[in-house]
Amino acid sequence: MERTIEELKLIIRELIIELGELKERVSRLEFDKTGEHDKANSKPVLPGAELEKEGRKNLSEIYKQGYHICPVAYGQPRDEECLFCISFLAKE
Amino acid sequence: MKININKKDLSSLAALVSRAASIKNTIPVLSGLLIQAISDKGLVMTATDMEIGIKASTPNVEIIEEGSVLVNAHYFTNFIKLLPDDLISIELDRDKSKLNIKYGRSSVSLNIYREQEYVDLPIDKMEYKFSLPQKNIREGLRKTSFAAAYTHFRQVFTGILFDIVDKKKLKIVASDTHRLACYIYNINMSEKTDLVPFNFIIPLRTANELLRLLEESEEEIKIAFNDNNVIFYRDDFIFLSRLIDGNYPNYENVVPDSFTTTVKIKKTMLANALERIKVMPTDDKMRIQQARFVFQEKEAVISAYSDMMGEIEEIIEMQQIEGESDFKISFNVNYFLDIVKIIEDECDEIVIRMSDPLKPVDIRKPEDENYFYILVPLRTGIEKEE
Repeated sequence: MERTIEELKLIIRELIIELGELKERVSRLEFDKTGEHDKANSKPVLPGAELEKEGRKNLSEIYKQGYHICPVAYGQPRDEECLFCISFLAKE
Repeated sequence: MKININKKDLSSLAALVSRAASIKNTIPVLSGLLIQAISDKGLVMTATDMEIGIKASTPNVEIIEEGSVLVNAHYFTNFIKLLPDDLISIELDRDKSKLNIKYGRSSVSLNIYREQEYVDLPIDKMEYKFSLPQKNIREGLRKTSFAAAYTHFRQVFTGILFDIVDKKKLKIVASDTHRLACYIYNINMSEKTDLVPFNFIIPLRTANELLRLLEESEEEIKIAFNDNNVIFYRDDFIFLSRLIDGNYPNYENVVPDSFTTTVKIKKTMLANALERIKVMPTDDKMRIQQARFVFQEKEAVISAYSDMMGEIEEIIEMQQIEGESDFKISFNVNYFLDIVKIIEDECDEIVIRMSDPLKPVDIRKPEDENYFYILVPLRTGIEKEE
C-alpha cells in the first residue's frame, strides 16, 4: 500500500513537471502566433544568470504560496516553514 | 511448566517485555506474552506486535518443571503488578488450558492462548555489525528523537537516522523538516571490525522503547541486522525493530556553515521567558505560537502578541554578541523551547548563530562540536524580504 502511494507520488511529480513543460510550449506557440516573436527577436536573449534568477524567483513564489519546492516533498502543500526548501532556495 | 518466583522479578520482567505486545485485538496471538521456563536460561519472556519485539530473561527463578505458555500480555502484567511482594507460584494446567498463579492463600486461574500460533522473533539469521555504549545511544536518542515527526507523508521523517559516516563517526539525526537535531558520537572501536559507511532509520516508537530499555552505563550493546530489522541485544534482553524503508534526504545540505551574528545568552533566563511566552494563546489567523527576537548589543528583546489576550515583551541581558546587532528574527516558541530544555542541565549559556532572518539558525552549547540543532525561522513579513 505504502509503495503504491510512493509510486503515485512519483507519477504526480512527473506529471507536474510535464505540465510545466507543456505550459512552456503553449506559451511559446502563442508567442509565435501573436507575432510578438518578431518584436522579441530584436531583444537580447536572456543570459543564463538571468534565467536562473527568474527560476529562483518562481520557486520562491511557489514556496511563499504554501508549497514545498524541495526535492524531498516537491509540490506538496506545507503548513510551516521547511528547512529543506529554504536550504534548496539558498543553494539555487 | 511449574515455577516459583519473587513478585518483583516477575513483575519487572513482564513490564519490560509486554510493551512489545499489540494493544489491538485484531490478531489475538500478537497481544500474547510467551513465558518459557528453561533450566539453563531461567525465565524467558517474549512479546511482539511484528513491528517491535522484545525477548528478556531473569535467572532469579526456581524452575520445578520446564515448559512454556502464552497469555494475554497486558492483563498478565497489570495483574502481577498488583500482587503483594512475596513468592509467587505459577503452574500450567495443560488439560484445562489454564495458568494457575498462587500468591499467599489466594490464586487466579488465567485462560491461555494457543502457543502453536505464536511466531517467535526472527533472530536466527541476524548479522552482528557493531557495538556502542548504552549511555551514548541513550544520549543520542534523547537529544534527537524529539525533533522527529509524529506523522509525515515521507515516512523517513517519522524516524531517527543512524548514519555511520566512517569507522570512527556515528551521527544520529532526526528532523520533522522544520528543525533538525544531530548528535555526533566518535566511535572508539575496541575490536577490529570491517565497519563500512552505512545508515539505517529506526521508527520513533523504537527510539522511545530503547530509551526505556537502555541504561546509563558504559556497558556496550550489540547491534545486528536481518532482513529489514535491527536488533539491539545484551546478555539479558533482545530488542528487535523493523526499519523504516527509504532514503533519508541529504541532511548536511540544511546545516548552515556561515554566520553573520553569533549571540550567547543565559539559558535559564531564556527558558523562563519562552515558557511565559508559550502560554500566550494562538489566534485563528496565527496558528503557530511565535516569538519575535531582536538581538541588540546588550540585550535581547523577545515579544509575542495575541489578538485575544494581549502582548508580552521579555528583555534578557545578553552575555555576548558578535557580528551584526539589531538582528530581528522570529521562531516557533515550542521548537525553540525544546532545544533549551534538552541542554538545560548541561550548560549555563546557549549559543545562537544566524546569518539571515529567513535562513536556518544553529543552536548549541558553547564550544560543543558534537551536538547541534538547526531551526528554521518563521516568515512573519516583518523581516527584510529576500
